[in-house]
Amino acid sequence: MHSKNFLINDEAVSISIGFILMFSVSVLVFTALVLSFYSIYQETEKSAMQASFKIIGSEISEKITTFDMIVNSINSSGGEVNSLEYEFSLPGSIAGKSYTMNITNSPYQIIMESDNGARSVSPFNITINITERKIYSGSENYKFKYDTNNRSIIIDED
Amino acid sequence: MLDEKAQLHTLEGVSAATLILLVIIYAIDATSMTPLTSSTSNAHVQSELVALGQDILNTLDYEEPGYNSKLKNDILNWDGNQYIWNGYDYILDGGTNYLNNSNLSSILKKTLISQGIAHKVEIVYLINSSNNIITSAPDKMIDAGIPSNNAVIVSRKIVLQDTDCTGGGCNSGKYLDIDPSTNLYNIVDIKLILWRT
Amino acid sequence: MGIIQNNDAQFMLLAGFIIAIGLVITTVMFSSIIFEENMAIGGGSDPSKNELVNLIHITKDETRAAYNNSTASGGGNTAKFNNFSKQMQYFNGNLSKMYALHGETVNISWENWTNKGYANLTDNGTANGVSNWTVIENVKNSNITVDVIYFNGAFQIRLKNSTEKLINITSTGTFSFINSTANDPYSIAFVNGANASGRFNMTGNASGKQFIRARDYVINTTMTFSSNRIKTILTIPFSVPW
Repeated sequence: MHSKNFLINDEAVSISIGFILMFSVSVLVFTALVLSFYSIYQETEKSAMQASFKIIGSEISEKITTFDMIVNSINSSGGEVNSLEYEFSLPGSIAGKSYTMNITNSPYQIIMESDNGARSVSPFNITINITERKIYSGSENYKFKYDTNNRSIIIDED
Repeated sequence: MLDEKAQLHTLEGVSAATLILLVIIYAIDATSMTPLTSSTSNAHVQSELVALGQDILNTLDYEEPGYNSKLKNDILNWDGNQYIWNGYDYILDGGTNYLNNSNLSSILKKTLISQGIAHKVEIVYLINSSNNIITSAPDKMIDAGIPSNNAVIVSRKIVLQDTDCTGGGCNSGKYLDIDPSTNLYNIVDIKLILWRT
Repeated sequence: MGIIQNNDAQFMLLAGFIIAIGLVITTVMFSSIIFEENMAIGGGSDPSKNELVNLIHITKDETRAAYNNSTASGGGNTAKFNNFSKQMQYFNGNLSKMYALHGETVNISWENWTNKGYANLTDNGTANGVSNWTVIENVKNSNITVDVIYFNGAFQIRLKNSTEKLINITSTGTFSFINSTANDPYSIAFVNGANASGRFNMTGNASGKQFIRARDYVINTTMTFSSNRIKTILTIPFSVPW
């Protein structure tokens, strides 16, 4: 029969279905929340990679500048550099992703990039030449070698 | 007034508040410590100490043609004993003599002591051991205990000739002539160990 | 109603959980960014650079000391060079032991200077060096001896204080000049030194103490240095005896 009060009507209420409904609504709300944080997480991964690139880029440009300084100070005192090798190492992956490092000749720059859009540019200044090279992350040990014939720096794997 | 209903209500409210509070405390705790937080075991502090130590040794090792550098004179005049800092000057360990006529000690007083940087000076030279020439164990000129984990070492090598050691030089009697047939007397490595306390 | 069957405040708890999880995720993310950006930059400069400079310095000193010792003992050129080589060989062997303590290897080799021509009168003794260079400043009195062996054009020795005195040298031979001032210290410079090669020797008083500047030869010394990061072979001309 018609009940007098809709609000207190307890017919056709099953506790288990009530529980299932409650539970599934909670799960849906929770999943929506986690998904909304996922895009922020991607963004922070990109900025964390960019910070790492900046640090590695400035380290490598400092090593190139040291190399140039050694060659120039020996040459200016009338001496000769018969051979000079300076080893350096790059991490195999940054934030779990692979990256590339591009050392260019004009202007003198180190460009580090990765697939997800993170990119950083570190300039350096040397007086001798450097041979352009693009390094893919993976092999971790490299070295700068001095090419006496062309008075330039070559980058080689170790 | 003394309502006994809603006990679980209150309990739930309190537990929710406690949960949020714990999370906030964890958040503040986790973000406060970074590698650049000022402490004595910082990478920047270490590179500063290396630069400072290297500058001290470079300044003392300058020489003009025909003269010995100040560092070389200090090494020649060292009497072989250990000195420690007593708050006022470098004094003989277990004695009363001060480290006099030492360019090294006057620079260390002006730079390291005034900044509160603990330091040790050790000397390694060549010795003749059963007809083999090997390096000696490190010999302490200035002692300051055991360095911390983040100590840095800077060093400089100096070559002594026979002519340096005549006329009262090579005071300690520790450096011996490793090659009597040529003018080469000995090679000395002076190590300066620096750390922040 | 019993405590266990109380269904109120479920959304409040749910809201509490959501806020807590949201805060934890945000915290972990921000913490990792801040950590990453504040990472120590580099490890400072490579210590091998200083070791290399130290090696060049002591090799230069030892070359000069060995040369001085070998010429002082007299004898013919072959005897002098043997004496020089013996001391340098001993130095080379013992230096390697000292450098091994730091995890580095060194090796030194030198050239036979007895049949070599004399050095140019440039700043580093090679033909490409700077031709016009100041030898010493603030001199009170000096005794300059120049022995010109090879002549390719005029060169001058300039003594400069408030006035300038230019000594012109126009042929081979040995020349000697003695100068002194009372109150006006002067500087000694070579002009067009690349035009001539030979030996020079200057002694006297400068900046309140005795000085000596001299050059007989320029000995090209080759140093091999290898450490953890740097491996290098360098050839540097060292001016002997000072």
